Amino acid sequence: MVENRDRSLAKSFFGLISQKPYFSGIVPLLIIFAVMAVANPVFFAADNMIDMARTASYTFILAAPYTFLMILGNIDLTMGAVISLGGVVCAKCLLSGMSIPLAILVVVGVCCIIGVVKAYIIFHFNLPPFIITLGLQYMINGIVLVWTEGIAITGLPKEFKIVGQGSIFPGTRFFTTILIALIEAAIFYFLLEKTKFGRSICAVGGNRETSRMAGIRVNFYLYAGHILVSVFAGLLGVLYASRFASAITTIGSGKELTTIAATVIGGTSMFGGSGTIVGTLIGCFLFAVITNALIMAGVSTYWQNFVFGLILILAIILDKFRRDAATRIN
Amino acid sequence: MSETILEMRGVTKRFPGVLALSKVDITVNKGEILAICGENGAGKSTLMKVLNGTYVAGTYEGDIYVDGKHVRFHSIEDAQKSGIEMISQELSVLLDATLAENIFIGNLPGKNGVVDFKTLYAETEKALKTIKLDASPKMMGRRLNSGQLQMISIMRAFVKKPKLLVLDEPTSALTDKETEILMSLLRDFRSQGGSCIYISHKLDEVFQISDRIMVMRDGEMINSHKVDKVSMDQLVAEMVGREITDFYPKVDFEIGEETLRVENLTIPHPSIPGKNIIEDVSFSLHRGEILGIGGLVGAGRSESLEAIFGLRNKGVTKKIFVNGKETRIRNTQDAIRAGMGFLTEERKTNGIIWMFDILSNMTLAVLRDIPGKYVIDKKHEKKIAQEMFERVGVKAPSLKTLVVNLSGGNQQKVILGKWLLKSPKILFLDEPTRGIDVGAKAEVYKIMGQLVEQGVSIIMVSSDMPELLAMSDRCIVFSNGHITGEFIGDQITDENIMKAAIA
Repeated sequence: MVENRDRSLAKSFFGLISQKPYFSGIVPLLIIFAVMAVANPVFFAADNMIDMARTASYTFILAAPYTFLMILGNIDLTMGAVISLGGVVCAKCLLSGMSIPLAILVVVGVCCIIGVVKAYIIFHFNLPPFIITLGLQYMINGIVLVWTEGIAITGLPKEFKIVGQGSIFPGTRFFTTILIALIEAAIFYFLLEKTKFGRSICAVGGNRETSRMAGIRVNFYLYAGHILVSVFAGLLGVLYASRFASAITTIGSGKELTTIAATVIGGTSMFGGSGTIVGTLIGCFLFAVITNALIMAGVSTYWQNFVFGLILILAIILDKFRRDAATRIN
Repeated sequence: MSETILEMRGVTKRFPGVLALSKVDITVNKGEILAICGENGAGKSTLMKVLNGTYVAGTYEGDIYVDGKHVRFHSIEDAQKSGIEMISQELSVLLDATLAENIFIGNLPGKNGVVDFKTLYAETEKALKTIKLDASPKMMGRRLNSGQLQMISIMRAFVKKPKLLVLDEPTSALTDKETEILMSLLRDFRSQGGSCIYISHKLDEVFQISDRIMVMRDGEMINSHKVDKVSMDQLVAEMVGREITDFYPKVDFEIGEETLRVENLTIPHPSIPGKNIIEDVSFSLHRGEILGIGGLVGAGRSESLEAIFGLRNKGVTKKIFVNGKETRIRNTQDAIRAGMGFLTEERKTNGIIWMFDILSNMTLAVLRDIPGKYVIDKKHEKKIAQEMFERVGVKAPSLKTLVVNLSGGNQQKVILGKWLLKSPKILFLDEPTRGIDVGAKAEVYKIMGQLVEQGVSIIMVSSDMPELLAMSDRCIVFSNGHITGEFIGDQITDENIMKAAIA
């Protein structure tokens, strides 16, 4: 992401972070940390932190590529359905005797096709991504239900559980999913900040026409964004199936909204053109933190939704404040 | 009963880190048109925003007196109630509403919240007749072109019968005919006792219509002149604060062989189905030549450049020859590869990326050429951007400044820099100096001169007659889908171009 720095504001800590793109995510995080330090310091125990990180990893694995799509100015409501589909496709393949790598490859292939179809409908007919992906989501969920008749698929091979339930050093709590998320964070960060691919994504998202004029292959990046998101959604479904040792047909339900919310909280603008991986990381962590903190503070879990919504709105307001400050009035 | 309709005393306005206005005094008399001139960033728009209530009382220092009475505006409505109406630079029209609604919005005739449509349409008919627009009051805003829409928003202010009308660059979207209608409207308004503040970069218009001219620079009021007591050179010198010699550079370069030839260019009309906006047009361009393209707004000049550049392709037929060799241009990548560059008419739409900084905007077209197969060699990128930044003379704190914080002229320079980094052999400029101040204009002309000396060929579409006359080596004129005139050297005159444009 390309940023401007106002040296006069940077004099205080608040001033410093208020210019970072992940400002909108860090502030609620710090507030919750402050509250928990008083309410229930057990919150900060290593075990608990790792649990939160593990939960956050699942969200992040999809939110990272989704950040790219949001920077492109698009939205994708099919994510939840594709997650469920990914798990189901993988399970059916495994049960039919395929090896794990081959099953995963099939999932990737199916999701690529979904990504291409999705992008084609949106860009060839120039239709709003919101409605198209909404419709596709219904369709894909429908296909999953028909295919499985609503019954979860169990009886998966033992080795399959390794990734989702395992840890790098067996017996310890270094969960593999956390490692996957961290590696992915490094790769996507590098892609976004240091490569021509990443810069072009920001350019296309910032102004499609200007990028087209400058000779950037706009369609390539738009399709790439959609395909990446669908593929990672499918892989996330595989991961869930691995963790629960079964493909639950509704596992993805609602996850598209969590992904979008986490990315937005991290400071990525829904209008496109800017976003950071670090921000998304913080946004995902924040979601895991909220659930956990409420429990640890003895608050009824029914408050979860309310708190999620409140923090989402707070984050958007904070982000607007940050953007306005960066754009000096003449 | 005083002669003064408006007095602003000691107006000072600050923004974080910037003093936008410094103790500005202005006076406007009844039945007078006062022009305010100044470079972009001089404070004209800010002063007008203080006047029309956009900046409310309390956010600035100084006083406003309307018709001798001290007033404090807490909203734009307050200013309007005092009889001050403003027509801004940006088109503010409702595309999906009728012309009647557009003209009378906020001012609809009727009682108890119920609209009196009969009166509404009758009054709209009258208004449309005044601006000589042949349209029905029930027509949708979307059907009109930008010049006509500007006339509609001008009428919106007129029908309120204001005491003081403020016009900010009102003719930027208007054709010459529409400009004439506006001028006669203003003269009638003035003879009935109405007053006007007229802000424009077009100094010839200013001399045509105003009684007095005020010059602003860097937030200060520099001088006020009666229109017949000042010359254009004097005005420009005061606006810029320095002498501008050689406003239009004299370039000595032998015009060479043909670099570009366009044949049988046909472009379907963007809004009228079944019709062609450009019909079987052919022309050529030579090395070191500046080819001016004149014509009325809507003649298809920009569309022609877009079609050649591969930006507009639907239904377009064309044959392009670069350096004598036939070249297929299906998209912008082909055009860029063939050595072309295109500075578009609307920089906000497709010239710059709003949220990026200067650095990223400048290197946009050369991303692929910067060393590093996937990774961007940031040191190299910064170096070439810095060189270009200095070469085109962008006035900004650093490369990291966001372009949204730059003035129009500086934004235009950034876009020029973007294309220059590609070292194009053929450069298309569509209204290169629209909406930029005098100082920046001169710098753009200087760069054009330098390019031509290096053998670059330039096609320039311009509605600015002095610019077209001074900068073109050869000039072709589009009208009704054809080239209606081609002029070289001394033949490039006001008259010839005008006659061909309306042919």
